[in-house]
Amino acid sequence: MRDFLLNNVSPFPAKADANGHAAVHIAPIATGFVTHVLGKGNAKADAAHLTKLISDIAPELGATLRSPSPGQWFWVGDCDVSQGRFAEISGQIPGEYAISDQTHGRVRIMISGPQVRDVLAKGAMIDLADGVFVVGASAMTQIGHIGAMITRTDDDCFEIMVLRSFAVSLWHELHQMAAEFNGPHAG
Amino acid sequence: MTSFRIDSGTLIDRDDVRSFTFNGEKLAGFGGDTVASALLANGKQLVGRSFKYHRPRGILTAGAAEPNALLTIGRDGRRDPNTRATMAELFDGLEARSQNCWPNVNFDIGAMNGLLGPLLGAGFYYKTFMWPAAFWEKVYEPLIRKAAGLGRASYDPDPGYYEKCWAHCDVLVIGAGPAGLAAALTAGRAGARVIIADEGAQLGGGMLAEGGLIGDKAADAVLADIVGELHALPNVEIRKRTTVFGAYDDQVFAAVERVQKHLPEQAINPDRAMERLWRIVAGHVILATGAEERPIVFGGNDRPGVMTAGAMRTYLNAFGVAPGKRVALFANNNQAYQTAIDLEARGIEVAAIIDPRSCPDIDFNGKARLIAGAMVRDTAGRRAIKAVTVRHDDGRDEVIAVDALAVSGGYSPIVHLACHRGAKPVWSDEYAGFMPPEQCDGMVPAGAVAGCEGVVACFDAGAKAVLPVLDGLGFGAEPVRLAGVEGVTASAPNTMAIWSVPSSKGKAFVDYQNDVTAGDINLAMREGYDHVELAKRYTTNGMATDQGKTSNVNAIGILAQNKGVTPGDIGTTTFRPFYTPVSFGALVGASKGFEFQPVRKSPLHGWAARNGAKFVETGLWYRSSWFPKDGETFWRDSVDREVLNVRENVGICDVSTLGKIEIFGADAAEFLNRVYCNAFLKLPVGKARYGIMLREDGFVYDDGTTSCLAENHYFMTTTTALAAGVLTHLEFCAQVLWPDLDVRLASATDQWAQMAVAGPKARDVLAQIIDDDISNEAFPFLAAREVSMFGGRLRGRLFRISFSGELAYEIAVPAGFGESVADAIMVAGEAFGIAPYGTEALGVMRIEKGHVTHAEINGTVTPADLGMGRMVSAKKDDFIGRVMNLREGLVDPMRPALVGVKPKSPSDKFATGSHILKIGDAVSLANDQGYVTSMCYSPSLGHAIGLALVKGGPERYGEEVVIWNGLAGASITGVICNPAFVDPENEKLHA
Repeated sequence: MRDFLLNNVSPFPAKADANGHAAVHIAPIATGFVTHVLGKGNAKADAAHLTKLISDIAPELGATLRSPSPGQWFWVGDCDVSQGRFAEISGQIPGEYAISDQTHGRVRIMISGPQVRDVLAKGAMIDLADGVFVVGASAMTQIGHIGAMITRTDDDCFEIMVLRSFAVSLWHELHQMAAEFNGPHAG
Repeated sequence: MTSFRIDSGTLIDRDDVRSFTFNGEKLAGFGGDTVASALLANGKQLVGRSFKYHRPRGILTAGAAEPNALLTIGRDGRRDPNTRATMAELFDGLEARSQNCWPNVNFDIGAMNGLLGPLLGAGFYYKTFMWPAAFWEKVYEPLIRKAAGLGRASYDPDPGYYEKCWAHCDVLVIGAGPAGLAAALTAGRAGARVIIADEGAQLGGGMLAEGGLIGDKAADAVLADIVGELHALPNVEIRKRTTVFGAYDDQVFAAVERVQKHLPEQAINPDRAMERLWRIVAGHVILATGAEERPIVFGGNDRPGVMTAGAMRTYLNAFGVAPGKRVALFANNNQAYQTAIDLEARGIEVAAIIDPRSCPDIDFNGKARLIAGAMVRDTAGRRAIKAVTVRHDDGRDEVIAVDALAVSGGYSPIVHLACHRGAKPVWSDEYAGFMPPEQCDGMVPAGAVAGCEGVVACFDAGAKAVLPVLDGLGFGAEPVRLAGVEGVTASAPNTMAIWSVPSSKGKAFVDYQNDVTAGDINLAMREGYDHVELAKRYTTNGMATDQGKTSNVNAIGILAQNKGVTPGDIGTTTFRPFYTPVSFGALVGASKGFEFQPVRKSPLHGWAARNGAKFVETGLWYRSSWFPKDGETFWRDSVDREVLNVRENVGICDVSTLGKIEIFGADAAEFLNRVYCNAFLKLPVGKARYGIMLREDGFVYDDGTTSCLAENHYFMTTTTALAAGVLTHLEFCAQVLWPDLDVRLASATDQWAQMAVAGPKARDVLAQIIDDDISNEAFPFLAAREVSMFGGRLRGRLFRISFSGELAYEIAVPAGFGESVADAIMVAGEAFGIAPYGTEALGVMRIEKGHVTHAEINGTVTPADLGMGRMVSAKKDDFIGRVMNLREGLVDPMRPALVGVKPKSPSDKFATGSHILKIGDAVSLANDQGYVTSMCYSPSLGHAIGLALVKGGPERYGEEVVIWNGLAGASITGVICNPAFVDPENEKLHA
């Protein structure tokens, strides 16, 4: 077997520092994993049960869950998970849950700054106000014409998860949306 | 400054002198001016020409309803036609031009239309241009459009950026007049999330026109205090220059914000929107949109210098502009008298107040002469008013010299938004106007829109109107009050409805923008168009950019008067969004040019680009269509080479865009068995199977392969086009049709980079990167399983399936590693002559092999039509489409069925879409035998080939037919044949 080079290529532009004045900071989340967990049909969605389950099976990965729809979750984390480790976890998950590795299929972008809501209001139709969309809340929605999952991760910080094929488009769109705060005319 | 600018004006900044041009003439105004106020300040009463008669027109209003003063502002890509001078803010360097006049606004050749006035009444075009019918589209309409009209749009692209936004609030206050401000402040103080939007450049609405005191404080100081407090409240969002133009279901309101339209070119931030379209999701709405003052319909009421009384007051108090030196007021209500009071307070002579009420109940102590029981029946003046003719109650006429006339025919509440969802406004005799519907569907009208008069009463009403809303939201609130104001009492409107002056001399205009006169309304009635909707369409009253804001109620009143009923019996026309015109820029937002739609990129996009791919848009995807090499100048040079290389050596193709769906669950096999028409229940682990899905009506929906990767785990591929559609279909089946089945579906299209490696040397190439045994014995045709790659460094999914008809595999790896794996395959395949191939070559090879795509699966075919009738299971109890697939018409042996077609002479060509005819038959629908669904040049065979759906199908192999191309006028002789042009025995697949 020849020694071929294997690179995990990011879908984002190589030069990912086009943030200008960076009143709104936009950055890809380069590492981590995304796992689609599908609960058994008709079973009651039970995030607490799933949280305990995955905490027991893979305590090193954390148990951060985001629900795109009833009975389904995205289990995400910031550390890389090998294919082998994923296969092990998959083997330990009981039949009431099925898991699909989406680490390469769904990519994440972090967007933050005091004016982050003004930026996201240009694309997202959901209410991201402080008291409405609390830290930890997530919603499957759209940014412009691109389907995306928005999660509030901190006071003025949101994570956007999008299908990999849309990553470049969304990246471009977010920068365009933020340009009035980040561009040379900002301020 | 000219003598029209006087020592008042709360909105203008006299230190900020701004120069602008009007029809090329250099003029100056102040910061805070509108174009209208600046023109008036410069003595420009004549600003445009009317739509049909080209009559001189001036400025009628001071706001959004302006029907006359429509100007073209700006130049090149920033040119905005039909801009209301009353809404456009003055900036330094602004260029404004009159419209619909030639050679200029003062001397307009088109004014000769006025001489033809008697001929050009309502319905003139309908009656005159009846024949010949063919002339309408080519001659009459273009000429009419050229002659009549508004401004012309620019052909240059607008360099500005536009965008769309969403906003959310507990309380949306529409209108920032006294009622709106009071509601917003009350709600803001209580802690509710408030958005207050107003179309003006400054908050205040009617308060801006107040020149005196409110309580014991100057009106502008009171306003400044309120606005200052609103700005200080973090839970209140203020949107100035924002017109809420539409009310939609679920309390969604659309608004357009003019973000930078008021700025000179050099001050525009290119990264900031010129205009912003807002979608506001509001819990509750306070409708504080105010009321529109109605003009009065009398002879010569369109003469420049005639304007509504409220507008005159606004120019006087807010902009410091005197409307003239000797002014008359023609009004049928008490409120308008305030204009006369303010004019006199500014030292302007009020020559007369003409009031049709015989005994107006008004305490007026000014100098002006009050002529009660009288009406203005005519005006004089060429390009501006010089005099009015007053008809006294005793029938005597009196001419009074004036240089401006204020008119007030009462007030029409601005009920549009309350009616956008279908509710109708309610006529009130008391208020002489159409009031908001009784059920406003989540909106609470407050202030002038609800019939209040005066700043103090409106403020009080606004503060109180929001209280129940706040109570419902759980906020305890106290209504805000104006300092120094005690005991608010609502005054009676005391308006005497007057729809047209009976003794009018000359044209009495109802709709200024469309040149509709009272005579036109009467004519419409006489000719049977007396329903309000028909009268609108017959006369054009209420059409165009102003949508009849100043004319509709008067027109309704005239109809009612003539029919002897009340305006309420006539009713209104239908209120629809938009309240005022919205630019295409705002509606389009950022979705133009490159940003028109999102782009989807395959994980192998970079690899394909590095290998020189030409891309083609397939839906949102960019797919590599061919890979030209040096010296290949024509696309087919590359495609032919790629095809031959796959047939002789090996090629690699990006198939990542195909839909991929993971299917899990204990009942997954049963589920697949029901959605596919062929059997899937016993598909073993490690095997793939081609499947056909039918729609409920028995026709083919989509095809693809599904592999069993493990017990209770399947992997389905769909066509690129129907990836989302198939997943939706499957979800519907799982959630609605068979919720009892344990099946779970996950889209995995983006997770995998997938490559087809095809050709007789495909196995040799893949064997160099795949650790597992992939010999024909170990990995036969339709094998499918996970494999170890690169010495265990990566795991992928390998499928032995073939679209090209060659020995072929599809290898799927996690998307991020796609480029590396494709590069590795290229290196591994170098010795075997590997070359990338694109979707064009893929398409050629599938036609050569007789494989179908959606060119054949076009919604009208059954599996039997495609030669796959035997795949339809006769053993399964049920599957989607089973019953309907057995319909008589769908099993008719003469249905068009899939065949191959080729030219009799190899040098002949034909086109997709060509129809098949029997030799000698006339060209007719009855003789049609079918049509060509796909066609290509086959480099393997050296001539054109095609697939077709032809009556009788395979029964006709060998028959010579006509391949008829009616569009190109070309027909050739062809031969019907087996669609599998290459390897019909499938030997290559199993090699």
